[in-house]
Amino acid sequence: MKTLTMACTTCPASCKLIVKTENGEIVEISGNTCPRGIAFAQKEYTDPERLVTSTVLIEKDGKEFLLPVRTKTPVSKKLVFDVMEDIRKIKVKAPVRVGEVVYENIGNSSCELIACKTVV
Amino acid sequence: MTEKDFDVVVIGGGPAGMAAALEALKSVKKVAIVERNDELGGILNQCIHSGFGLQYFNEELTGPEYAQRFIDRVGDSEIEVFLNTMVLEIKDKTVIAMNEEGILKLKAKAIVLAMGCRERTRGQIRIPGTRPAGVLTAGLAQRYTNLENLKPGNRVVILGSGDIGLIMARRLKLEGLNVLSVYEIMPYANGLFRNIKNCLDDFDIPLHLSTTVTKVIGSKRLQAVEVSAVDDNLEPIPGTEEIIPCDTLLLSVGLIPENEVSKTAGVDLSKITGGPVVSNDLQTSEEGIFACGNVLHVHDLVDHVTREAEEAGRNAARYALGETSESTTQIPVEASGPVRYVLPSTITNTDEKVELKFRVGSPIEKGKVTVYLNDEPVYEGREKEFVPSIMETVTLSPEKLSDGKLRVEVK
Ligand SMILES: Cc1cc2nc3c(=O)[nH]c(=O)nc-3n(C[C@H](O)[C@H](O)[C@H](O)COP(=O)(O)OP(=O)(O)OC[C@H]3O[C@@H](n4cnc5c(N)ncnc54)[C@H](O)[C@@H]3O)c2cc1C
Repeated sequence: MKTLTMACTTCPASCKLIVKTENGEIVEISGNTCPRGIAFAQKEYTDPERLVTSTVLIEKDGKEFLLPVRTKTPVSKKLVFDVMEDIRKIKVKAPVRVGEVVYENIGNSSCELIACKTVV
Repeated sequence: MTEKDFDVVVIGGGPAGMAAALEALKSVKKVAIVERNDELGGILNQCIHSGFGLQYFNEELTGPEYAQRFIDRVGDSEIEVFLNTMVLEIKDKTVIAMNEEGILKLKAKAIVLAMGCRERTRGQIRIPGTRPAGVLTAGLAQRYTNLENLKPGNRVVILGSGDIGLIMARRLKLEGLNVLSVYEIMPYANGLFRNIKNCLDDFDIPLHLSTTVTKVIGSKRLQAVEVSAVDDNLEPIPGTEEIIPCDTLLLSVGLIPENEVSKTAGVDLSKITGGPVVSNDLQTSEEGIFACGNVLHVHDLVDHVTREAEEAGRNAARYALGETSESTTQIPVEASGPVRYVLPSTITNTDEKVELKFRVGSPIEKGKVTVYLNDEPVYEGREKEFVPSIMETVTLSPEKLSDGKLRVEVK
């Protein structure tokens, strides 16, 4: 039996989950204070996902700045570095509004990359 | 020189300043925000990671997205915003500031302090050795990476396990830098557990507890740091030294409220938090001057900053309208035992419920908070874990309060 600890990121309570596994299967989950902790632990054990946040270059009035961006939804943890590789190649032009899609299927994650800031 | 009259002048245009100004504007007409940077948003502009807004907006946002919501509201309002304008001092309820055009005198009926905080630097923690380039605070590295498109270095060591350091460990790793390890002098991590997991464990970045940097090595550019294990008194243990070659050392060793301007107004500051001493209406020792956000005490969640700032803005507007009455009650509030500080330090109005905010000085695995009024318990919490990185709150209803002294204790 193996014991893992996880930080449930479903809400700010950040419950410390204790997950016991045997032969690659979860046998016990504790430390959660609501059912969402169970769902989180199962997902985290089988296919963990992370929101990726970074910056891309944005051109405004002939000058280059950084625009904060993020994946619209969490992507599989395995794809985080692929997403970053694509992010490095992107350059956008102002105006951009917060929430606007700046790139589709980023890092082949089938997820969109969106702007986190309005630049006009 | 420009001279203008306002009901409420807010100093600082971060999340605290924006929320205070928006809330004040609900009751008074003339509100101003003075911000030294060229945009509103404060520290949130460089906090591009997510984890903001879960409580206030019920969704997980990045720092810039959280800020944008308030920037849009301020833009749509009648608030007068002075950007690129640095406040120099407060004198007789006049905010004296400077920008490209010269000196500004903004006369206010009430003032809200919302200047945020700054980072502790190497000088404040005294690491021996040379002074090469490559030693910088984690927040400055965050600014370089996320706002200015500069790379702080290649091989990075982080001293201190505060959240900014942890967030930067992940950020620099994602940008392709070699993040070697994080060293923490205390026997426990200072940052949130979720950040240890998602910023360090996800990328196999080791965290060494009870270990600190004992020497900085290098002439022009940092070449290495010497680290040593420490004993129970946090003193380096001879013989445990190890040399770690690196070109960048990030310091994530804490934040201090930014109160240079507050001092010019004669506001009393707490020795423990470094922020103003306030009563439960968030008024400082100077009448009509209120404080909120990181300038008051360091917050871990921006959602709490916004709520606190709204209260300060509301009370400042009330003061500007002359709606506050002389209070007769004065209930001092004290921290005891492992509780490091409690806010407010006095309760002057007992008509409404009072929120006590506090932090412990070191982790307590299982504890219970009790609030005493003259040694009589008036509030008892349930058993739980307490850590210094998380601010706790207790709400007392008015009927629990009467003359005497309040004491907050964790056992
Ligand atoms: C690196 C980092 C990571 C964080 N991560 C999270 C997180 O994941 N989740 C979360 O909820 N919270 C997080 N926080 C906390 C949260 O962001 C802060 O508590 C919040 O932004 C503080 O808001 P504020 O308005 O008090 O201060 P600030 O945002 O610092 O704003 C203060 C403003 O005042 C201005 N100012 C100062 N002095 C003057 C002067 N003399 N004249 C004019 N203007 C002045 C400054 O330029 C600045 O714009 C983080 C904080 C930091 C630093």
